[in-house]
Amino acid sequence: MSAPVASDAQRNEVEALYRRYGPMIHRRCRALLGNDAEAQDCLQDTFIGFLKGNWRGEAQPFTVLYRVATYQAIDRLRKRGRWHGRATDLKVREDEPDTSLEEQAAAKQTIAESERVEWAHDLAILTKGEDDFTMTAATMHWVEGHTLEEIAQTLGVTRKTVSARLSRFMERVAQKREVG
Amino acid sequence: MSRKLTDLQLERFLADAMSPAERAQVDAALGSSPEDAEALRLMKADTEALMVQLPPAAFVEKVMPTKPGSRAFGAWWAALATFAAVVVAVVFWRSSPVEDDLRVKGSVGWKVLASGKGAVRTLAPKDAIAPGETLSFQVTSAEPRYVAVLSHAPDGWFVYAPAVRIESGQSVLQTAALLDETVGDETLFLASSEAPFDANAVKEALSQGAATVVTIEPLPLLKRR
Repeated sequence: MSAPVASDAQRNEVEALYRRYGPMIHRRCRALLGNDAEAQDCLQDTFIGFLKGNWRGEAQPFTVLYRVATYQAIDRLRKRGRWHGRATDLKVREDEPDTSLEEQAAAKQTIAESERVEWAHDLAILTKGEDDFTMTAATMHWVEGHTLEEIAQTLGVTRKTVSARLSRFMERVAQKREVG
Repeated sequence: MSRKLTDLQLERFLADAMSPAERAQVDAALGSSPEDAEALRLMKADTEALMVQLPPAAFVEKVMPTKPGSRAFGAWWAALATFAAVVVAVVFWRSSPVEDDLRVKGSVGWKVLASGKGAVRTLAPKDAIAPGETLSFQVTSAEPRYVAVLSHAPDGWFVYAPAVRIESGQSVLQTAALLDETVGDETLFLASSEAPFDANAVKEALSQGAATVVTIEPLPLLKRR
């Protein structure tokens, strides 16, 4: 991916963004890709993608960068082209009411690392052609076990929107399977 | 006791990307959960490590170059190439860097970062280093290789980073070197090979002026107070 040319002011702005969000993006890429060197490439591509995009009126930089980073990482996983059979029966898990922070955190820790990687590979294939929002929400929900509320908070939308977008994604997957 | 917070919450906390109410909730959880406090500490350490491995100025130059086609370390690579001398009978090869970031097609390249007193810089040949500074190493290779970092200082030869396999692309060696009080000329050597090797054996060979089959690339430095 080639990089744009910039003014000093833009460079200062990007440096500030990197200091604030770069480590988060790097960890996000590394968690999905399982490879430090590739995570640095993913970090770089995320910023280039962010700078090339038109994000005016979009949510906070954290939200946008998180989505772009997920998109870049999943795109890289897709190129590996491995199907593990984890994502054969997608279901949106509705949030349990009154679930404490501790219970939510514990639920996520029960997902084994190897299982996450396999889910990520499967979703990378299923999300081909999907927008970065859907790809990110799907990854957060099925790969990382985040609740709909957590996804909504992170992506700056309502829980209902997340649920609807994931449901439509599942419908598209089902249609593709019928055709295929 | 298990954690009360998710990594994602800690990420948003660190990036200051949460509402005041949510922040207060996370603050309270951190105060009562040593596991979460430890997770946050590790995250902060990881952040610091990234800033050493990929300093902000260098990163910006990669994603927003000052000139079309330029890259942050182009000048560094060019300078290093002039010092590409073979110390002993070794197989030595090197080609020009490609346009895209730090990769070197058909070869292996490296950069050394010195950090201390809050500042991080990439070392060029003949740069000064000081006792107490920490050196870290980033290696770039077009193909998977085994690499190690050695040093020749006034008080002898040392292995700074034992041989490890790196994949194609860019790798940060997990070992860093804390510089001791000895001052004087110090040369770092990147040893690399397609086959596994023992860095200590290479050190012995180099110290005795014997031949070794690994590729050696030197970086001469001056260590002073």
